[in-house]
Amino acid sequence: MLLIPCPWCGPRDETEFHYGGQAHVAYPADPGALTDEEWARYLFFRDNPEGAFAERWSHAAGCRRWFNAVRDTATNRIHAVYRPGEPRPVTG
Amino acid sequence: MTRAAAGGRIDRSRVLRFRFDGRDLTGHPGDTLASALLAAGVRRVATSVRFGRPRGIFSAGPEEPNAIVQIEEPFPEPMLTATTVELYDGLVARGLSGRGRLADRPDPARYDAVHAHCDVLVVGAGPAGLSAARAAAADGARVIVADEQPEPGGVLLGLPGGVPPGSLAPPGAVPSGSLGLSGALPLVSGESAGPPGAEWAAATAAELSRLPEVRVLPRTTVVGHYDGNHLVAVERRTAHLGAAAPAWMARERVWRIRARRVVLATGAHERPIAFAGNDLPGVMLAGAARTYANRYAVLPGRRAVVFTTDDAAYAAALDLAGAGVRILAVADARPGPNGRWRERVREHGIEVLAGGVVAEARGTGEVTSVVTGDGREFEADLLLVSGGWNPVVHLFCQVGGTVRFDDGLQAFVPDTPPPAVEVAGAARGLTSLHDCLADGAAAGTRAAEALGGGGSRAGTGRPGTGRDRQAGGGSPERRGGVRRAADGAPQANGHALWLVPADDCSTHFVDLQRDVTVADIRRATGAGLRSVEHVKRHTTAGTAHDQGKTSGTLVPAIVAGELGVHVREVGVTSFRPPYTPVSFAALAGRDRGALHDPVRVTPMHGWHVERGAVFENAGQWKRPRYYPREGEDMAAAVLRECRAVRGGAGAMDVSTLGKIEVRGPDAAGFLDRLYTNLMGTLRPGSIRYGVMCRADGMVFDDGTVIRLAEDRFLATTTTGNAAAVLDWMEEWLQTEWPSLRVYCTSVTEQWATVALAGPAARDVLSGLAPRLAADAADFPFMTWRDTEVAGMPARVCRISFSGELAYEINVGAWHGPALWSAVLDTGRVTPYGTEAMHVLRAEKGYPIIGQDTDGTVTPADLGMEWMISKKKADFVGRRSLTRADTVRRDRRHLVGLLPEDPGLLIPEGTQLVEHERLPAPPVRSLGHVTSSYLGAGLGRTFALALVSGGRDRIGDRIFAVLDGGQAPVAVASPVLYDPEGARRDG
Amino acid sequence: MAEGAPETGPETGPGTVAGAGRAVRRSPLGGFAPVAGERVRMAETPFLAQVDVRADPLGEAAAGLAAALGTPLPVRPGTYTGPVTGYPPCSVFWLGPDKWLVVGAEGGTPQEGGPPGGGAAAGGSGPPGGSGTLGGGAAAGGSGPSGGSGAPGESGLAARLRAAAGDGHAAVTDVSAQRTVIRLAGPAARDVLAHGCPLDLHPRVFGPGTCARSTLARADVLLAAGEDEEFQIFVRSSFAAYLWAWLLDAATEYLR
Repeated sequence: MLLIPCPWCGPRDETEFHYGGQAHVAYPADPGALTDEEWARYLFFRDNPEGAFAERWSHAAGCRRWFNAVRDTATNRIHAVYRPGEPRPVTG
Repeated sequence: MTRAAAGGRIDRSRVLRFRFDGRDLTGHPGDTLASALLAAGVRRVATSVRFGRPRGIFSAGPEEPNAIVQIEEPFPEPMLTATTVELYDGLVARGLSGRGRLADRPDPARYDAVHAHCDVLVVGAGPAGLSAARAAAADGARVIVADEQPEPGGVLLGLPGGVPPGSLAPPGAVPSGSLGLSGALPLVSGESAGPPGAEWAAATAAELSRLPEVRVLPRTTVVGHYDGNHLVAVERRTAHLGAAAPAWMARERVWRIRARRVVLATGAHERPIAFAGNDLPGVMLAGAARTYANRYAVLPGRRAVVFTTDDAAYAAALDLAGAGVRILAVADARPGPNGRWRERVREHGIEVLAGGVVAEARGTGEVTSVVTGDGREFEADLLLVSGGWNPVVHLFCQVGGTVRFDDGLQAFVPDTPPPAVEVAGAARGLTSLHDCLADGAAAGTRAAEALGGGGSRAGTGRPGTGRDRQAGGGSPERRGGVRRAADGAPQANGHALWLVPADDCSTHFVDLQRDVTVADIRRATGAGLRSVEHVKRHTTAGTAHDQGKTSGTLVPAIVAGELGVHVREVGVTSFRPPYTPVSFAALAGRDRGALHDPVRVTPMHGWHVERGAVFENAGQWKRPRYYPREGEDMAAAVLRECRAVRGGAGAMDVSTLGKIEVRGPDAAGFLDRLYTNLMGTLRPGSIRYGVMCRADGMVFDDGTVIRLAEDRFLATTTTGNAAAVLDWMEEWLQTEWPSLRVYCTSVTEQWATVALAGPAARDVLSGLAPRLAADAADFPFMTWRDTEVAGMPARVCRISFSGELAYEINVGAWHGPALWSAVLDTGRVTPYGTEAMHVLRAEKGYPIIGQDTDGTVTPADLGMEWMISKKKADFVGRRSLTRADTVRRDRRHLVGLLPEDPGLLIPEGTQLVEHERLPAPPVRSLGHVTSSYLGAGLGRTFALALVSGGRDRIGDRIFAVLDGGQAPVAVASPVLYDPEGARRDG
Repeated sequence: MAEGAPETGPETGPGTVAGAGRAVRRSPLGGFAPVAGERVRMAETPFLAQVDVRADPLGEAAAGLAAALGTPLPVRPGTYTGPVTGYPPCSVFWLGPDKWLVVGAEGGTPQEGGPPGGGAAAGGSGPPGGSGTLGGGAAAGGSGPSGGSGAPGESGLAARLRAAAGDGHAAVTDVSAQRTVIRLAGPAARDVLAHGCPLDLHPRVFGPGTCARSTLARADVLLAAGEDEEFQIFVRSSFAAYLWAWLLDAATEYLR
């Protein structure tokens, strides 16, 4: 079970968190202006890398804040956590 | 009897009675079932699963592949290893062939779980583990030591000494004895320079237990090692007490441990060698035989041959010889056996066959003779085997550690450790007691140092992250591998012998429990399998209890031999939890019966129970489904409740609906972005029905929105989605629209809510709330008022889910029971449950999200185009509603269905088709029935259904596919009752 | 039926209170007998005033609240302040970076402000939130048929905090009945909690003054540590009976 460092509450068990999928997939500014294909890309397409992946988590059973984490999908190690709106940090 | 008159760690002053395979036998405290059986002379314990061959006791620990038993009394438990069952009075067991038997009655024992946190978790209380724990704890760190045995010591318990349990050595004294794994000359019986190992272990564990921050857990097997150093262990607390187990005490306890650092001191398993008949009772791992002789004072045979590839078996041979077993010969497969060992056994008159092997164990039912490679046949009832040692890397690999093949040891040893994990002692490939003690201490010290200068500052208390986590397990040169001893002598002395070749390898077993032989492996590789994972799945070798404990290295090595490659190229199969079998009862813990899942109840629950309500589960909520009266079945009760609402007044406890206060200057704009319709134009004092979609345009939830003030709304949700809607709102606010000044607060349980519905509802309400102007003009549909009801501050909303004149009365939850009683005490109101509510709403065509929808339904599919605002620039899901797929004319629409037989109730889920007679498959489904009831208002049965192009089929005759034929139904509008809404608006 | 509701059911005990001539109140664990073992003690603290406060910790509303409370809103995660005196005695629990729970001694309607008939102070020393004196009841509720900023029957504490927050962007919401409080105390209290809570409850990690939202068994809770091995467990009212039953079961070996 992952130990996830909530930016506010510190490390807590994964069971307290809710997974939110890939980070930095912004809701389009004007969905109405998008083609079907562009909208489908927003709606249905996500990356699935082996290695570092920026993803969203919510500390659902704790402070209830959303945040982003860079997790290595191969080792499950979390290299960084940061708040929504912040750029993805450079991780090693 | 084969029990020695003295020695061993058993308590001869007490006799335990037990029964095995129908025979009444005895043993002593300190025995396992296996040692007691051996002591009683029982050789055949089980029968093999595929070939029905007799099997005996092969090992002395959890690696046992043969002696699989069924416990019958005091409570049935299947497939335990006799070598790990502590003997107790009244035990009844039998040997198994394959599967065991699950109990057919509920287990009366308690099971529980506990969360634990520590700075250092040490797995294993053998010499390395205890040394590690002592070093780690020296600076005040929070340490947990978990060990599978009833007493600490691990391999030390099997060394000579014969010290009775409970005797303590002075703390700090260094134990003597040989692990029997070493190339160095061991100390054997009577040659102890220090306190015997078991005595030292007991003293060290006692010393540790006295430290306030240290917890020593005996009888506790760590079965899983997961990310972030989360480890799961199972503690067996009362099984060894048999019927005397106290009822208050959990029989087993699951420990969920979060450790900042872990020291794996998990030891090593001795490995068998594949030769003909290597499964017969009487063939035993050499180290196990040594343990039986020293720890249990049991002689597993009278006349023995030893077959070894290393020095370990020599110590076993000497101990057994000392105990009275006649050792006929040592067949040492190495061309040049260790000279010092050779001399020692020769002093005892034991012949050493250099470069010798055992070709076959012979006998019917058990070993009666042993044939060596040179053709000599020894009359023997015991054959000790040592094919080398496999470090126990199960936990290490589960959490992501990698292994490499060590040529010195001829086994896979830890290589790259996962973060914050140390491996110490035999688990790392070390073979001498002295080295294991030193290695454990070093690992413990490193673990404590990595915590940042000692663990006494447990104020951090939390498992490490960041730098601490990245630190890895020690310096590179220490990672894994077999060290050289201080004197430079190679410590490992493994010799690569995996099987003794023969034409017929059909009794050369590599996995005794699964009856897998070298012949099976050859068939697998002959069929073209190259991966050891594929061979495992094809042959089942290494599955079940074994998990590579005795078959590890052996199977890959034989596969490698067949493929003509080195074993390192074949590698090992994946190690997955659990290390040893875990009972389902332990995993369930106290989450069973009434505590299986939370039962959520409303403030009025006690009343519902008292009045005999029949409940249904709505998520975790218990909701009254109906309130049967004397002699009523469900249909009768629901019909009565429906008629009461249609003809008079009914009351329903709707406190479970989700309620969210949305407050802030941007609250209206926020809701406009989430609901499909406009909320910003709602006036304070008014209420509007709303629907929410996910971004894919599919309906997610619905409910009413109450505008309390310019900057304040109360949104209600369905019972099941209350948490999900709040999460949805928070997600958008926090991640996409942080600039919106809006706060959302759940008030679901702040309020108790009673729905009061029916033509008489206004009268009843007026009587309870004399200060409320309740006339239709003063209090119109879709408005709300704050007032007092029955003397309680209340908010009354005029909304309807039944199609009748109706109100929802909200009071503080503490007043819920009082409000409910006040409403019913008017004597004019019938309580109704969720089933009547479903019928009433369905007659009106109101969908239930999650029943009439399934995540593939748009608002338009529900006939709610009118709910989709044309005025708003956007709302979540809007763009999806113009995708090609969502504008198809043949999408499934929510429609009503009227069976031609007005008494026919079509089951929910029934498929709908066009044809009266089913054509040959495939048959196109038009859709399915989502809700189906007997309608009180309609006076007949009816249904709601999702039907392809349904709104264009209104009036059509289609067919419901039922058992026994198709039933004709007419497609209708979903609004079947009072379509003008006159009753609701009255 | 205009003369108030009848007193229903066999409701006596700490969780049931008849206000002065008013309707009977019932707490989620009303009727559940307190547990008083040597190593574990357990009782409901019913009818506390609980107010959910949302505000920017650096904003005007937070400043107004701090001034009124006489102490800043705690900003360190996992901590609480209180009980503070000089205001309606209350404690302030950190729930999130812009979210607090203010807990006073007595919830309920302002109109109902009489001393509780054996309600709030059921056994043992007072919880951090309850100094034993009456907190609610003094202020006018501000609610009414016209729909002011409060809710009908809301606690006086909520009304006063809302007034203190002023015109700044904040949400002050009465949630007194949303959760109830189970007080768990005694030398084995931590052991009982550890059976179902993933937090590290070591006294040096989770000592007096700390609080955390987490899970206990299968319920979400706010857990707060007080002095003398006493914990307050805030649990959603609908989960209270389940959690009580779970705690009783988990305490079995410490109650024998």
